[in-house]
Amino acid sequence: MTIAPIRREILVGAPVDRTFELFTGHIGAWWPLATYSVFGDGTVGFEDREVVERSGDKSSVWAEVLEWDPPAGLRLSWHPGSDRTEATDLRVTFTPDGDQTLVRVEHAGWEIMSDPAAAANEYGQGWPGVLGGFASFVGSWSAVDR
Amino acid sequence: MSNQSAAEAAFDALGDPNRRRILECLRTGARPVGELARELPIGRPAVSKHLRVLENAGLIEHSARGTRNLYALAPDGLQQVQAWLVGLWDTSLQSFADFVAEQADLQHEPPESTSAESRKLP
Repeated sequence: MTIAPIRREILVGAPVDRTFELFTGHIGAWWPLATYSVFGDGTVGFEDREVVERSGDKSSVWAEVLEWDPPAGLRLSWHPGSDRTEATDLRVTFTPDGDQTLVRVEHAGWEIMSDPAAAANEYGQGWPGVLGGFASFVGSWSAVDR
Repeated sequence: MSNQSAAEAAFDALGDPNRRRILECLRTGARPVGELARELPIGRPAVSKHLRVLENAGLIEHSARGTRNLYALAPDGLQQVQAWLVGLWDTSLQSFADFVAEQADLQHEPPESTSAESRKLP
């Protein structure tokens, strides 16, 4: 048993070009930082090819941009709270739906967390290695609420 | 427990390397505490303590076999973690949809109001 890809979607009230611009260019204005962040009181934004959270003189790189295809979507190497060796795979796509846009998120790639060889070996056999990597991945996030 | 607190209990439990090692040991099947203690660099009382933490976090379960307890991975140990992830994306996407709606509302207001609101964006 491993973590299956997480797929979520939502319809938003803007054309696809505008939606892509708001999602990426204004992530600091809409991301729920109080609940999901490393520092809890900072800001987050796309900087060059990275997503970076900043609070005072501290910073945390959440992601690197792997694919950038406006306004259709983007793909990120996603690892908030841990380093890029424990990155998961995040794809966001934007599909026009009349005047609105369907935003889809697919969050996958859990098997590459923790030791890749061990994770590949235990894929389908058990979950602790993957889950252990996941714990370090989100542990510092959930720490914000505690 | 709510999904959020259940997931946090799981993350807390997994923060300790000995507890992760116990989970690794249980991958091959159910084991009694004495066997686990022989494979770990800690004493049996400490192993028992870690087992309680793991069980309270929903990651393992135990069953009595005669006079001894057998510990095993809980089959649904990942559900709370997946629920936490689903919650993360549902919360974030809803927050984004609300933000998009606010921006659309601003566009229908007088220009000076729009520019004032826009300057608040980071």
